[in-house]
Amino acid sequence: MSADAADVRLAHVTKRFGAHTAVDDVSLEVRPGEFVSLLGPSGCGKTTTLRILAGFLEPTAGEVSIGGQPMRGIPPYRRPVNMVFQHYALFPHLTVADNIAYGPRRRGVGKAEIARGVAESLELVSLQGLGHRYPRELSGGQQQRVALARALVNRPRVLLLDEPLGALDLKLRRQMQMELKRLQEYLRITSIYVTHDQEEALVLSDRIAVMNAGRVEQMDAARAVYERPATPFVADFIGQTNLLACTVEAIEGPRLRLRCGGLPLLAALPALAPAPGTRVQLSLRPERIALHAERPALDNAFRATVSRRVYLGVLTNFHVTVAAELALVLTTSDQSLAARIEPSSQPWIGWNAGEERLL
Amino acid sequence: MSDAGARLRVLSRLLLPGVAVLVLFLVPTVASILVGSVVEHKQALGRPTGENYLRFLGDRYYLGTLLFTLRISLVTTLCALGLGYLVAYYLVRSVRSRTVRRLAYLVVVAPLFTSSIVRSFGWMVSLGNNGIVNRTLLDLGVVERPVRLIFNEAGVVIGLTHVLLPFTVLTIAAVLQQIDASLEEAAMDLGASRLVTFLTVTLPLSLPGVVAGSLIVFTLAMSAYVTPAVLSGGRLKVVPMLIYEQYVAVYDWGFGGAMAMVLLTLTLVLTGIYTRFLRTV
Amino acid sequence: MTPRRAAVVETAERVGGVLLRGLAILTFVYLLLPIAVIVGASFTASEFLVFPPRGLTLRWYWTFARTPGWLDSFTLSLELAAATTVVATAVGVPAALALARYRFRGQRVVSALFLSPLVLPQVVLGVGLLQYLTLLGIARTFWAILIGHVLLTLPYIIRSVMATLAGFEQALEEAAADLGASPLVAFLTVTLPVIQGGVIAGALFAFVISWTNVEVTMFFTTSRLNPLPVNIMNYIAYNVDPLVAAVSAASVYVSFVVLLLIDATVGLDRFAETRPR
Repeated sequence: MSADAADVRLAHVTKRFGAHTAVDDVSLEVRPGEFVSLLGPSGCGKTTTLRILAGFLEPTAGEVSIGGQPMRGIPPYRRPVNMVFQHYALFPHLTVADNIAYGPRRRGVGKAEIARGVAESLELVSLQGLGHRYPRELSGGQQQRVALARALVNRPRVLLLDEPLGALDLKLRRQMQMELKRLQEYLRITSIYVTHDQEEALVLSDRIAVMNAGRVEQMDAARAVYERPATPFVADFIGQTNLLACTVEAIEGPRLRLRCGGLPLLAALPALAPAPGTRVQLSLRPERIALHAERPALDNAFRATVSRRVYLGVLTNFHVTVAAELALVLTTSDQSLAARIEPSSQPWIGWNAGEERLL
Repeated sequence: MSDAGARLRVLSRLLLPGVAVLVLFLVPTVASILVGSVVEHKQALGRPTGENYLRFLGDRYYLGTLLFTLRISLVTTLCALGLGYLVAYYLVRSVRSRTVRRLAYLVVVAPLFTSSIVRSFGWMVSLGNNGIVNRTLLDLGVVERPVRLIFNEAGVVIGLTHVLLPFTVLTIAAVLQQIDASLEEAAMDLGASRLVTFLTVTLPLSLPGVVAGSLIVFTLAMSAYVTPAVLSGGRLKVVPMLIYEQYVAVYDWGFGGAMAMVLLTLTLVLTGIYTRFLRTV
Repeated sequence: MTPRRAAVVETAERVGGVLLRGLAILTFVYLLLPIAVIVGASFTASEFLVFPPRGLTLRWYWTFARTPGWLDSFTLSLELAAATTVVATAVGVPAALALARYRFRGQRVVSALFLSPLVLPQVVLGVGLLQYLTLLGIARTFWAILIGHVLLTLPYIIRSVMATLAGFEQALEEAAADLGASPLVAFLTVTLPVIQGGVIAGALFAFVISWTNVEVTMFFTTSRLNPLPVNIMNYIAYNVDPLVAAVSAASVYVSFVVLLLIDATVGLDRFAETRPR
């Protein structure tokens, strides 16, 4: 895809507040109709990036373009983007319908057309008949929908969402996630979504940009970010993982022999083979480690001691120690097996080379 | 786009009229009292002198008036505090309906919306030997002979407390409102009766409001003119009355200015304590 | 707790509740008494001032309306209060916006100066202004009183508007900009409607402060420039009659109309909660 076809382009964008660098040389592109999440812990620069796109902040350096147009010097009210604010920012003195009509009115749209747009948008978010209410008369979920409708009615080139579901409780949040996804796919609207909730990002996004300390650590499809994290931060932030510090000992055919915290391990040989003696980090997802009553025929098999068993409904987590030095977390969905393995017992654990990821 | 330039332009436009009023009127007003009080009087180019201040603070009569002003302010503060706490507590903790609360607030702020002269006039009519207050007391058999309630200290305290009560009610009510009701529930759950709960939880937590309200009332009582002038019938003097005399009758503006500066300084010191106190709470 | 003790405590609490209520009501009576006495006495049919009134008549109001001196005072005070409100609002609202929305060097000093008339004893403000305006040669003019009243009321407007701005989310203006409103349009369509309660309450309070003020006004009056409260004060020094009660009552009526307007626009309980300094 050529650069011009991108709906949003950030090139080497940096934002400094005094001595603090909030956004550090961020470059990324968002394709038309794509749903991209900016994911990261608080203070990672994701909201600042979004506010630069919306035009509330000017980047200290770098270029932003939306729909192929450079945005430098263009104030928020002349940008082809609309935002769903974190706490909705609904105008308290206006009814729901007037809130939604606010944008079209600023553009001088005719009365009849505004009425039609408002009605359509209300229907889009399933709030028909609530146009005459005031924001304070609505539930949190309803306010959220109004905020969405208020942005969508303008048919923005890019929809910006700043943790829009953060204020909702878990159940409502799940429901709104699905609804948001449905709407976005239906409207094919380019969307940039800021969140610190990795599950939300995985559910909603075509691609995720994982941010940390003002930088984009990895930008990739949801599955790729989870399964092939590029950095220890990404591996740790997305899902749960066991991060082990290892030294490369030898290359044995298609395998790599490592020593991790005193334990000898076999790993798959990556395309760029590290030389023996190199220190590497190994990420091993809990669900990739299998539990066995007997010694399993796997590349890596150890007797472990269960220090804690945590029942999670669908899954059970085991905190185990191997050879008294290495603490690991593993997950199983086999609840009948899990029930038999008591704390302090000593089951076998194991995994094949290739289940891990070297960073 | 030059963010900073546009910001500065908007900011200066917003502030300009207000700053102009301050610079053209407020600052010179205070400055003229100060200058007038420290240069020698009746001279084209006066030399600086502390004479006016020495005269005020060194004279038994003036110093006595200052102490009397402080004393009457203290008594007023205590009265306003007691009644104010009572009303605030009643408003916040006992009144449930919003209509009643609104009506009650209407009554509480009514003195603030009435001219000090009209209020004092009302007290003149009410507190005399034949006034409604004495007649009610006689009718109820509380007293056998009319009590002197006006043209003395009692009258001044009654009048000052009346107009300053809204301040204590409002500050204390604001603080009481912020006290989490679950704290009181927790105390009662732990075995404290209502009274013990009040003494061990509510009262200590509302102290910031009490202190804030007291300082406001004290400074306002100290600087009141009309109420003490009318309700003392001129038989008692407070510092604002002395200042008025010097400016309007004696025309010794230097001396009057010195007294004004002393009053202002006292007020500022108390307000400083108050702001510091609020910040540490 | 034994049942017996529980019963004692319960009775004590009930008595306490009744006592609290009784004392609160007595205090309310105390707060209203002098005002009610003046209003009541103004209807007396007797030639001398008495409360409760003897008979009921409106003749004192009629006399008031036909006495040019009183009527002039009344209109002068209305003009003063209206002018004060307009000037103080026009100056105070932008200042409040600047103080609440911007961070700038010297902000604390500017803010303290704006609010300082609150802690300045009124007599001190009065004499200082007398001294300064005498120097300028405008001490005994309408302008002198207007300046005094504007200084007096400015902090109330600024605080009232700042209080509403404190609860105002900056995100609302950003949302307006995001939806295509220029800064001016955003201010007119979003900020102003949201803070208008504070502006109106502050303006109304400014009106009343000017309307009722004696302690600053009294330094600038002449026999022809005599606002109502000062006129009442000078009159009472020599005469106490039903006529001045009617005049005083009229002053109270104007104040109370404004008070009810404040209650209608922002709700007095809410107004009261932002009031304490």
